[in-house]
Amino acid sequence: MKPLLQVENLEIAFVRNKVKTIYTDKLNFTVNQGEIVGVVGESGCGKSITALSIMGLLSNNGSVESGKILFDDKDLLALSEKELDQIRGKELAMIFQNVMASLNPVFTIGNQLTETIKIHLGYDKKESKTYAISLLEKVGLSEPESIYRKFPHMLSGGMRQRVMIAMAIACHPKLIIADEPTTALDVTIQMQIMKLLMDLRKEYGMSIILITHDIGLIAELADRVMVMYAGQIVEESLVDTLFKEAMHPYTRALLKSIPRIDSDKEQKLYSIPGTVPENYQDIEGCRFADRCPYTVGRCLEKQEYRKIDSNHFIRCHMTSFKGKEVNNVTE
Amino acid sequence: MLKYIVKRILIALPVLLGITIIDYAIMSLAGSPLEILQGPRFSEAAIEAKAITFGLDQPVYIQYFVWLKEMLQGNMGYSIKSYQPVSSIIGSHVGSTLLLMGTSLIISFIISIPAGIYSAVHRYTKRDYAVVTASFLGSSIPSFFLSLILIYFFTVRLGWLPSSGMTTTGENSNLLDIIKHMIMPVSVLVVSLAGTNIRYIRSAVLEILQQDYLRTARAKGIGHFRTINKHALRNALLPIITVIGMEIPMLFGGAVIVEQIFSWPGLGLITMNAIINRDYPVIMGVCLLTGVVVLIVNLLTDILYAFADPTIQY
Amino acid sequence: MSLNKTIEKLVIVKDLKKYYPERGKTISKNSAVVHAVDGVDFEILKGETLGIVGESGCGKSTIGRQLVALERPTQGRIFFDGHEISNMSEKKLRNIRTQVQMVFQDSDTSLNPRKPVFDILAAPLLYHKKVEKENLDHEIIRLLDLVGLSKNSIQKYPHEFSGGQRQRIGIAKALSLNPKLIICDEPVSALDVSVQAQILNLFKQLQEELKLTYLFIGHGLGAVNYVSDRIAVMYLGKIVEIADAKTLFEDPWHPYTQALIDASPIADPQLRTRQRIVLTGEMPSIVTPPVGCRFHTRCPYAQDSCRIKEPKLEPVLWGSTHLTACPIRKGKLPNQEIFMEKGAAGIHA
Repeated sequence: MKPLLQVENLEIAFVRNKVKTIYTDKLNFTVNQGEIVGVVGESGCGKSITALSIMGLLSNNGSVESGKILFDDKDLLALSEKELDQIRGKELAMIFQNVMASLNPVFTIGNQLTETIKIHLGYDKKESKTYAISLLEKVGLSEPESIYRKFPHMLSGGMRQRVMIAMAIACHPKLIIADEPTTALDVTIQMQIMKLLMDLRKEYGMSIILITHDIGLIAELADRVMVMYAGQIVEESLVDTLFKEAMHPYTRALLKSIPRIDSDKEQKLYSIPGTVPENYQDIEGCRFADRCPYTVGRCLEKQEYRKIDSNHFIRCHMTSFKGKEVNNVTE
Repeated sequence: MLKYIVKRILIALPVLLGITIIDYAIMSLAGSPLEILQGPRFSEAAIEAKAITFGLDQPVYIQYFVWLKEMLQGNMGYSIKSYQPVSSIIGSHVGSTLLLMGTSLIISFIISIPAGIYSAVHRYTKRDYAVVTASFLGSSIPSFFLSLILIYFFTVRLGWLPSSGMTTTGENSNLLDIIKHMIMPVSVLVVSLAGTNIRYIRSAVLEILQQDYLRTARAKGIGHFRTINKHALRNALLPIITVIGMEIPMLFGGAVIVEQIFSWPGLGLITMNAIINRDYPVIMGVCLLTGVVVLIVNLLTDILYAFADPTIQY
Repeated sequence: MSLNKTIEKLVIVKDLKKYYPERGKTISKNSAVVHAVDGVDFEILKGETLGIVGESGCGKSTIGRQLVALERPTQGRIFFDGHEISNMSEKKLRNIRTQVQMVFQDSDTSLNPRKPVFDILAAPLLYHKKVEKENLDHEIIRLLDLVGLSKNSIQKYPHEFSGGQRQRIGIAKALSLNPKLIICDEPVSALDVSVQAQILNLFKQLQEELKLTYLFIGHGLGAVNYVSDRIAVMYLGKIVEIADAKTLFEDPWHPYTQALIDASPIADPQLRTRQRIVLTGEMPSIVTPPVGCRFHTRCPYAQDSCRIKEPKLEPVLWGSTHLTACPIRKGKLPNQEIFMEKGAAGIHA
């Protein structure tokens, strides 16, 4: 089956201090219908700007230098703003991280919700209101009529995120991009929001791109996972594979460095030495090489995106870690 | 809300009192009006008589209390120079200042609000730079300098516009005549006001344009036009109300220099003269008026905020 | 990890209450009171790490601020090293302050952006006259080395460092006065996972080297578990459970503790379908907390008695150090299967 979203050779650049820097390195990935793709990586890896460029929402000093973003066979990058506006909010929706600032403080919830409905679905005032209230109920808000009349500052963070989700699903989108949707929320509220997304996914059948730095959340929700580091996708696999048999040293390191509730506390937490290189786009070879415990000479050459099996790819030439000593422990 | 208003009014009274005390103190530092009356034309006796009439022989704080007592009874006193009641002096000049300043403020907002918004939305384009440069020039040119330049060209050289007064003496005052007299002083005031306001509004709108909720609006596919004109502008109402609120008090006292140069018979003119002559009652009358206006306008502005910004609740 | 726990109690907190007036929006309403911390008792033994977890509004940060005397409690008593600090004069407190230090969450805003690292670290040393001017350089380099920063850092400004490095500077600052107790207020919450691990390791290492005692406030259960010996769980201004870290996670008694554990994502897709409590509803208002047990409005096990009487924190079994504020679970009602009931649902049903 044809993929819903196909990103080809996406290169995103930003201008800082009059210098144009490339932040992502010709990204290639797909999202199929009905699947949840998790994109995990730490701050600065490029996951958020990738999402924004799919939506055409890069800020003024950002630009897509090359590549294609095929959504339902249409190249989003080739569309005009007007044409893009017909897809955004309708077939393609996004929910954002900083939910406290993402709703307009001077308009009621109802006003902001019916806006999309009126524009994309063509409902009149009365129909929009009825539909909006039903949406608010669907996303689990009690007393939806009352919420309809309220202003954003009267709602808690969890409630606001539910409103954002209501706005996103209003027109039955094919794809929702969720950029760290629960980072700012309490963990029990996070659980509620995640359950909501899953229930809605079941009902509406849409695909979701879930962007997060919380690898635990990925384990809970995603079907497939992409791990990003320094502007590149370094590993891609089905979720079970990633947690059982991750092959890229960065992924493995990340998994080892998470403190778990059931972990043995006597054992020191694995921590990746060093930090993300500053001007990583200038690095010829592997961008993780200076922090990787397995670095060899070959790592300084350009790394190919290698296929391990039909669903598992890594950007690393290593084939096995057996017999290698890391932190005085033989793998 | 009602309780808030009552509370504000109650607080305003001691503030007003404080204003009058401070104003009186500063004024009396300048010296007694009697000192102006030096010279051969004034005999000692005459000065004495004047002093007693106006209570100027008393110590300053007694003078203040006398003034206050009279004021509370509705009597604003009499001008030391002209013996006319202060209330009628102010009353006869307030209208022309309102006319001049009112027209200038309205025109300056008509110019600065759209210009500031346009400039912010088209940030860093050539048009933006043009607007910003113009506004910078406008707010930097000294008003007396610009006034003199305008007078030189339009009165002296071209003879198109009159340079002094509000009406042409001898003729029946009609609207056209007044307008002709207003063109130059209003222009000077507008240039300066718009210059400042454009930059303020531009920076306020720029900040709004950075907000996350505009990105949400775009993500909903509502289009660039609606995003700016509905979502951004509605938020710009607040800083605009602030600016208007700050400048309305200027309606009453703001054009001192311009009124001097163009001999416009307004409050600014009589205040200047009163200060030069140390005409205490007139000065205090104007100060009190300004104080009341500022307090009322501040309260109105705050009330307007509550309507414009749903997060504010009193 | 301290193996020789002395029985000496470094901190004793009795019935701590901290109320704040709610910012009155209308003057007609008598300013409502925010019961940020509403009667809390605990102790911290010398050399141990006590973790406090809970969600927003539970009061954990407020407790931290009381212990470090940034604020005074509304009621209750705090003892540090045998001295009662809750009502101590500011003058006497000055000496105590060098012994209790704090590491903050947001290194962006807790370090003065206009001062270089040298000045930031020198200020407390000079103020408390801990070091002579000639030895200042040496001491500051020593501190930086302790937290893993090179001596080239001294003339740099905070914005020239990464988040993790700024946090190290904050830690160095806290260590500079040789404190006995360090309050860590969400020190790793704003950091990336890989940096988090570095800083958590650093905390543990320093504790062992310098014989420190920590109060570790956080909301990530994994992180708090890693550094803590004992953990207290807070909800709406009260402690609902307190136990050894291991016991807390293996055998939680309070439903909120269970809900918190269930809500924390586990990095193992196989466990997705595990049954767990998904709390419904929102956190109640801390201005008017629910009557009776504060958690009853969201608790899947709530009974009539829960709505009337506020339970006390009591040992789960006679003599145990594991305390819980839920008599229902303690009583282990018959025929009530654990983790089933209203609101409990696997995410992938």
